Amino acid sequence: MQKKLRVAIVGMGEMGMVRAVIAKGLSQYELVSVIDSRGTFARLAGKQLGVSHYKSYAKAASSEEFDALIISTPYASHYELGTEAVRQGKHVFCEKPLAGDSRKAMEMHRAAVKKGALTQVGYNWRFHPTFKKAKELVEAGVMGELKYAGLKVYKSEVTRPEEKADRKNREERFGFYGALGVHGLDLWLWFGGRPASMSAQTTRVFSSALSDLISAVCRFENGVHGLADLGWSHHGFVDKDELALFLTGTSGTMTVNADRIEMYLEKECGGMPCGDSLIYASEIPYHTEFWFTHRGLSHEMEAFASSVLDGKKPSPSWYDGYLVDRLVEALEESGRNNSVISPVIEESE
Amino acid sequence: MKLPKIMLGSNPFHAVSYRGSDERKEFRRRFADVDSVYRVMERSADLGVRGFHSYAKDTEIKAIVRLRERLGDSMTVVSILPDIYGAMSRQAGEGAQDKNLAKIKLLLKNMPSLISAGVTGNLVPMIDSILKTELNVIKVTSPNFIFLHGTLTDMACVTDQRSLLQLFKDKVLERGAVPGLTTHNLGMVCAKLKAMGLRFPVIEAPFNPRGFMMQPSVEKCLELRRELTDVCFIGKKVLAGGSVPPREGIAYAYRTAGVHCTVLGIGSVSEADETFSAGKEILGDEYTAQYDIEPF
Repeated sequence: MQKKLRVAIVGMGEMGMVRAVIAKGLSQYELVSVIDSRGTFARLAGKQLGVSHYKSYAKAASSEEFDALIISTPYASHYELGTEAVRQGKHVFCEKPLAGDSRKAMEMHRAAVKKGALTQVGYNWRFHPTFKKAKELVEAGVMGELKYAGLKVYKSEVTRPEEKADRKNREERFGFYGALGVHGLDLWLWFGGRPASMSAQTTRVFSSALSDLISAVCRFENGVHGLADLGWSHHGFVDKDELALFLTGTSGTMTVNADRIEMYLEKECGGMPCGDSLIYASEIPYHTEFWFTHRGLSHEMEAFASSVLDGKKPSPSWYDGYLVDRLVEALEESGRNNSVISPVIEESE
Repeated sequence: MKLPKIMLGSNPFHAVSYRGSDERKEFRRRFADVDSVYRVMERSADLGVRGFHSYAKDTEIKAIVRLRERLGDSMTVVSILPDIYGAMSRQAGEGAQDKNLAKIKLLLKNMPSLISAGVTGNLVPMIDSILKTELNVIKVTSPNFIFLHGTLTDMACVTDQRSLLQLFKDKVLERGAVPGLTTHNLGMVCAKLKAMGLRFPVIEAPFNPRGFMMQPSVEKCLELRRELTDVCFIGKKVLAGGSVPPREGIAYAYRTAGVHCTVLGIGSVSEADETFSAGKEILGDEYTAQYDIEPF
């Protein structure tokens, strides 16, 4: 009989429901409980999903047996829930951003390491077929040695002055970063490496807490450098795939977004032809037991379950979550002070 | 009810493309008015197509109504419900174009049934209200078939929501149409329908030579297609998001997968010529064939 990961989900908003539906659809999971501080949401989700429901994690943990917790609450509660769960020996999958604060993110990571808990953060764009394939190609050396990693993330979400409700909503979501920015920054680090120094310019067009437009140049520890151009106050960008990477190596260049990989290679390599080539996402084999709403989400959850069931470290880990949180702080600090920053990056262990 | 062998899809009309944001932007511009949607439908009709898919979107509905005036009962309309964000906006009322605002208004409007659902776990009254609105929106197109949107089908099946699926089926039958399901998870949906003791006469699912969105696997989808002899299968994503030439995709769907019908999204008049000509070539006399589908 197949071994299953017994899991509880906390936070039954839109994302929590998506996670629950996917967990129901993947045979690696056994959904045990749902938790939401809003009793009505918890009860409704529990009844719909046919599982027990609770208003607090503590109550669920003391009443039910589960191996792992999926945290789908707003980011401000990730630290408290995440540390509590790993201290109780639960393996934890946490939505992005990990904590929105690098100190808290590192504490979460260290608490998990100390207890031997396996952790993953919800940077699901890594599991999207095009970005996954691009990573494989880069690591196979088809472009030679990577020298440049550029990132573009454009959205049209905040294009008018901030009202009181907007402000609360944006703060709860970690502003532009929480909307899509951190996904892009995670991909940037995944390809570029850990940041060594950077200089950013940031602008608050309509928001008051965090920047709406961010431009930065970064030198990564491995010598790669890159430009990042991000923001949610650009007009007319309604597609999610306005998130793209532009990569250049010693023998090729690649542009990757959610729809396709465009490549130019100076010479044939790894099965990829010399000159121009184009790979659509729909041409990349992608099979999952259950697909729901977004390419990448099912594979991300499959990866978490497989890692935990096999006792292997999941990726992206909470340390990766820490790196993104640290990068956001560095971008904001550099932009605020108009300065070049060499962010202090703590080691994983 | 007649279900044509080959049908026109509607994804490009609401700017769905798997080829990139440039094409999505182009589709948004190109199909912003009724005339542009109608032109593609009309050309497809000239090429012998008699089956037309439609979402509950204003431009598509108006174009279908106009085409119905020309083709009368010889055309078959397949409506996909609900268009989720459209439904939310309609439930929320005028001025709720913003997605977040629409969500908030939808929740507020449905708060009594939502609270009731929270207490009893019964979502049926809320879904009933949404379906009622959406069925009224598409009424003018006189739909022959009404299919449940793939996201809702998948969600309802994986969470064993028999009452929701039954509600949908009953509502569609009440309107004199044949109910069907669309899905991106054929394996799961077929297994769940069997376990729930529910039957739908038509299931629309991806079938293409790339295996694009054929979950859980190409082999399993082909096996289900062969085994479920009482279901009429419509192949969608036949061209694998535009990455397969029409001739290859259509030949695979009918000859390898053995689906009864296909639905093909067309982005322009010239694309209609290319795609449906390939269909004619592959299907021969069968090109204009229609299946007589009875609701279970």
